[in-house]
Amino acid sequence: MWAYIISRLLSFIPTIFISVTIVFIFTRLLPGNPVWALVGDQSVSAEKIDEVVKMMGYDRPIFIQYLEWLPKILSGDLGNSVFYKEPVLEVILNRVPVTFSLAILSLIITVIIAIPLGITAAVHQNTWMDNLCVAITNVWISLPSFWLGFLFIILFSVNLGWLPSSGYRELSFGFEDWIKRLILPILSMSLAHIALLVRVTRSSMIEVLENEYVVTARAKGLSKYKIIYKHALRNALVSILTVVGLIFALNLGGSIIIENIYALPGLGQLVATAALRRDYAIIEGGMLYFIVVALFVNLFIDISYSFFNPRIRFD
Amino acid sequence: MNKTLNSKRRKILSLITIPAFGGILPKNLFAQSPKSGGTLNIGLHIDLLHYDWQSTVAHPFPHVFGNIFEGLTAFGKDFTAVPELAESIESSPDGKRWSFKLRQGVLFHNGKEMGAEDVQASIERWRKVGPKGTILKNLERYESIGKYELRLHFKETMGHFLLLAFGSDENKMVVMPKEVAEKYPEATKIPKNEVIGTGPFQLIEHKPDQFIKLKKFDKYKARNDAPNYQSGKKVIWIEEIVFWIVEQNTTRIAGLETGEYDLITEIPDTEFNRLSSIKNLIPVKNGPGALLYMMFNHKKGPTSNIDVRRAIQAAINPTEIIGAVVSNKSFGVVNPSIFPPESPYNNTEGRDKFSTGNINKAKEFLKKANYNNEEIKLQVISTNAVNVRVLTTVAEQLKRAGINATVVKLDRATWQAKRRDGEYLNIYNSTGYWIDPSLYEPEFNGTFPSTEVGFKNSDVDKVFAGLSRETSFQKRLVLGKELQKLFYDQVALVNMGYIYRMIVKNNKVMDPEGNLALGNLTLNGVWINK
Repeated sequence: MWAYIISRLLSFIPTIFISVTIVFIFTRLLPGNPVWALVGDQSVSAEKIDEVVKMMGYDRPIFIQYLEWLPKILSGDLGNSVFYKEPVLEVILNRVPVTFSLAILSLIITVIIAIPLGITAAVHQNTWMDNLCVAITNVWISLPSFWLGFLFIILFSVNLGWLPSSGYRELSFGFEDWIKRLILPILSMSLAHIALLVRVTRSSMIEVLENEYVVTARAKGLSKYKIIYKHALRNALVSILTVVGLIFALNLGGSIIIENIYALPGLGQLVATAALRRDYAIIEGGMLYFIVVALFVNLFIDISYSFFNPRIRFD
Repeated sequence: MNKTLNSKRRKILSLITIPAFGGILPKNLFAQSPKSGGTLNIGLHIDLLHYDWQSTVAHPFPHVFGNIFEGLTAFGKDFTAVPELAESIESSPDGKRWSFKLRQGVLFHNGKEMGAEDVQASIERWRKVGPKGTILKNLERYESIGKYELRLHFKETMGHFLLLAFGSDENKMVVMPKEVAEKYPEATKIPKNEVIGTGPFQLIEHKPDQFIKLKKFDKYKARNDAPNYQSGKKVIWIEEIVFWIVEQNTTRIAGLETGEYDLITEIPDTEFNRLSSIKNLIPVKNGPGALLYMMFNHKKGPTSNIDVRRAIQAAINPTEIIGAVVSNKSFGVVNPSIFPPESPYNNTEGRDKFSTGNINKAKEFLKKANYNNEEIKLQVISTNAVNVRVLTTVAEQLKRAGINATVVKLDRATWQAKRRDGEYLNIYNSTGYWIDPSLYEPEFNGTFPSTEVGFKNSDVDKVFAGLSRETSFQKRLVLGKELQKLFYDQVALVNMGYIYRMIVKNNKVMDPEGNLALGNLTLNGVWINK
């Protein structure tokens, strides 16, 4: 197991290296540079802009810029944001609590609702329960999250007055204030994920429940509960956990749409705004974060397979 | 009937008659007294990009920093320049020397008393970094007379426009401590902890993409004269202002309806009727009118040909454009003047050349220009819904005249870069406030947005020179008319109509002076009725 983990960790290095290189090149290939956005409305001559571009090094060939940038990144120096005028790491870390709060709570809700629903649908396949579940999940998957977001605000905030409409409050403002402002964004973000996970759980469970050992277990008189949760679910978990991992990695990357609608200062919003402003350091630092998070989440999910299914070994 | 009413019947009668007569009694009999304290929560449509108001005309600087900083002058209710930090202002008869006597005992937020050295350093910095700073190109030298008087000596006559340029809140010449001005001579470099002004509020906290918090400055020294929009005696009732950054219109409106925000900015006029029908909300039409205008590449490409520009000017139909942009008619107006309807310079000179959607005339100009169906790009910021609708309508109008017009949507950074690019730019559009003719000078002197594309005309330059010298309003009015005539004749820009902004407040926000209807957010005299 440890050998497997170490080899996977070592494989991160070329993956991260290639990914950040691609990000760097594509970022530099975008038209414009941070100087344009910084200069803004000033009546500055083209010569002055060229002077600043030269001073900041954006006029040099991409390859040369890359060779200067690479040692810094390898030593953990993500540089400073041209717009926030702070180290990139600090800017990203300031946004992490928002994105992590959303991601973790959304995942918990998704798993708590989706897996039991999916199991119920599978166990009652082709009954009204199953058909209802499929119909509802079809609708949820189809509804765009931005539309849901506005709908929830109008319904729960404006009409019912149950919840605040937008914004983020840190935990230091009090738990109630913190959680109240996350409920609607989490719901908006989770519905499509719940629908997806229900469908995956349902189809994995149906496949497993048709296996001979399950039929044998029933014949042996094992309780329905044991058959479903001790035997079938554990075997179906590989597919389910894969999707859970994907959802979590996506959530940790931040949702630009949800963050924009609910005015949440998360990582999705940060990187999207940085892209528009050509804030290279933030784009590169943000993408590095997404890549590392995705790799670690996938590793964690892969390792977890062996806990749920002893037949899976990493020797 | 018993002539003597017993006391019980008298009481009942008084309960009926007092409300009945309430309508004919003076309104201020029932007016409430302002209440001190409270936090004003504002849903703001855009966040600060940096902390340097001197270097930009962008929003939300006037909304936020207009409460933190003051200048030598500011806008009065009629959008003329009135003294703010200046106690008195004098000019020599030849207009080459301007003396500013400063108010004494005015403190910066760091406790330092404002003096002539701070004003000088601030002017010098604004001259270099400010988009409007070019009006000081003839400034020769400064002269301090003691701690509280600064004189500016000019090579040529400088008219009263100097005061408006200093006080215009689009790019105000705000006064900061000398130490800050000299430490950060480059644009956008002022850090958050050095945002130090003399205004009634000070910056306490800014969490990017979350909020901007201001707190009342307890040692603020107000003027003694009557309140006058951005100047005069600023009476500050509110203890704290929090600007919450909420980019989505729908979310801002929802926040106002739930009571999370007391006031929200930049709301589309399409919401006017619905919000007016909600009991405790008050939409406020906010002026003066903002000119929807089109600017050209005057140096290269097809639009550098004056007949092509004249064809475009003829083909444009502002009535259609306003119809496409606003849904509530009171928020848009077609006005054949380059000055808004509220400006004293509003006039009809050159009206014969004002755009009326005359396709035949447009075609004649195109023929004269030997236009050969070259593509003309109309570039617009993709996230600016108003400007996108404007140019989409314009493109159709130009196509009717036989112009090969294409709308190109760009993100803001690319749009800003491309509008300076002589090889790329053809046309871009924007909105602007030009209350006074001299305010046009920085953007029509050949340098804006760059020397590669900017409008330059020697006759116009002469008018600007005259405007900057002239002190008589009547003579300036004549020059303003001449400027307008030249602008239409040379097609410096195309006037596509005027629109008004809307802010919405709840009925707890009291604004007895009506400042919220007057332009950028000015909270003097505003109080919260809790």
